Amino acid sequence: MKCKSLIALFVVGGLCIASAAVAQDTGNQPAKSTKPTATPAATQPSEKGKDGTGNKDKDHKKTDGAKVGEKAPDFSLTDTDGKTVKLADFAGKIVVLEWFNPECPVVVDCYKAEVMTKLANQYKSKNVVWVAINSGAAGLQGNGKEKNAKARTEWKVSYPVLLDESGTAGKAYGSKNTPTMYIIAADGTLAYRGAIDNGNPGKRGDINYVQKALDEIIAGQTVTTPETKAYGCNVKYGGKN
Amino acid sequence: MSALIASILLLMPVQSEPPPGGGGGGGSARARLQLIAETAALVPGETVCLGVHFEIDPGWHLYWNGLNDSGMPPELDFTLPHGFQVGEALWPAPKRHVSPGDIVDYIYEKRVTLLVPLIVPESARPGDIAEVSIRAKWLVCSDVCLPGEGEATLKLPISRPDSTQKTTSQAPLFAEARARLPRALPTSPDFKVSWQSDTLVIQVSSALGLDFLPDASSAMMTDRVAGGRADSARLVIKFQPAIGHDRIQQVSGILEVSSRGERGGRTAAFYSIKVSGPETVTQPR
Repeated sequence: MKCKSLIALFVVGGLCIASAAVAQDTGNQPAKSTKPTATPAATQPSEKGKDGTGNKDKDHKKTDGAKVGEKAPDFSLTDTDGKTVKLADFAGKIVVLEWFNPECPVVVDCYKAEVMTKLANQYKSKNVVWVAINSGAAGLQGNGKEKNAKARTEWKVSYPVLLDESGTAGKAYGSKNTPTMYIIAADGTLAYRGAIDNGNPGKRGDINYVQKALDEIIAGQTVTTPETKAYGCNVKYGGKN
Repeated sequence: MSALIASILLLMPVQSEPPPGGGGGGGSARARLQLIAETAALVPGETVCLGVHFEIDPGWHLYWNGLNDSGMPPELDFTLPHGFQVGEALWPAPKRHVSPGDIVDYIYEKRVTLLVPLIVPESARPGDIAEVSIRAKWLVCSDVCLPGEGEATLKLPISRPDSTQKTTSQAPLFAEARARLPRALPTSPDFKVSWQSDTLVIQVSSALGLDFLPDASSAMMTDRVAGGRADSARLVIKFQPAIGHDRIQQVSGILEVSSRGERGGRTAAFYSIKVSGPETVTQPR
């Protein structure tokens, strides 16, 4: 009967998964791994840069920035008091760099919980220098001397906030988020990059990767987790999308 | 027939009460949360589809739960009546969004409905009203990012198992979301996925365009800005291990296939891709 079949359609439509009514579906195909038609690649070393397939991938080094194990890029930036700060000023010390934006909600949560400030103060006596860097461009969220100076006062930040308005330092380090953390060992090589902890923008994690790495570096041990995926807002670089 | 038309006309829009005036920060105004139902009532022992729906202001976006460089997808927290359960939310395919500094995210604009299966227990009693609540937190961004949060409650009657189900006026939003849910990749020869060293080759016959959107478990594309898409039937993507990994373990996400539509123009279909990493000889350290 016509009326009943129309209603039956509504009932089927009530399921969340797309119904099998679409012609080209293979009906009961489970949504599992697709076996690739395998080209055995066992004996082919990956050929970086060379590309017979016409692929136009950019050299990912440019996008990803400083690599763990390599020399950390130099910078020379002005802090909110107008003082020039260079990475070279801290030769022989362990340096923590923190990408910062006082108006990013994720950074705000971190500072309200005093995550960075407490850690920085705790490790000051262990020869660890902490430096925050804001790579936001003029006119964008959280940019400017006044805003960053105010945040330092409000959140009782003992370390400098460097203003990288051109984004050069941020891009040299490949920083995409606020916060992103980098640890530079006393010999100037990058020992850690990534998230502050194993949380996410909505929730604190229970493992502070920076603290863990600092303890290992200070003890002369290998950093067991040298790289994690950072989380947070995007760094507010200038330029077009 | 006229009875059916009459009952459709009498359908009440079933949606959540708006949150009490104000709500959290600006982000709660830029993207507004609603909890919506597809059917006007629940049936004991059946699974229905609820929608976590966001209306998003122009110029602002919410984040997909895939491999974004930044942002935070909505986090959902349900409160359910005794015996009820929700399944994992289904996320419609997003769009790629590139911000200055080569920051690549996958986002939703204008509106999005996440589909959530609500499993109604057999023991649910016809005549009862089930109250389902959601609390959510999110990051909504334009060139600034704002935190948002919201709450919504839906009250749905439990009807008898043999009763006919009426859909609500929100049904079109469910259809729109479903059209962007990825389906299983067919095993037909029209769809070929293979590794060549660290490069994945995806071929879909008669496709006019292909676009790969990686999920949170996927290895990373080496060029996230321009890579991962092709204006042809063949897509070649170079991968590198996910952050913190030393080899490519899997490539997973959504493949958007653009084809010729019935009346000219383009039509898009979405498929799930999940492929183990290429076979490589493990090099001694």
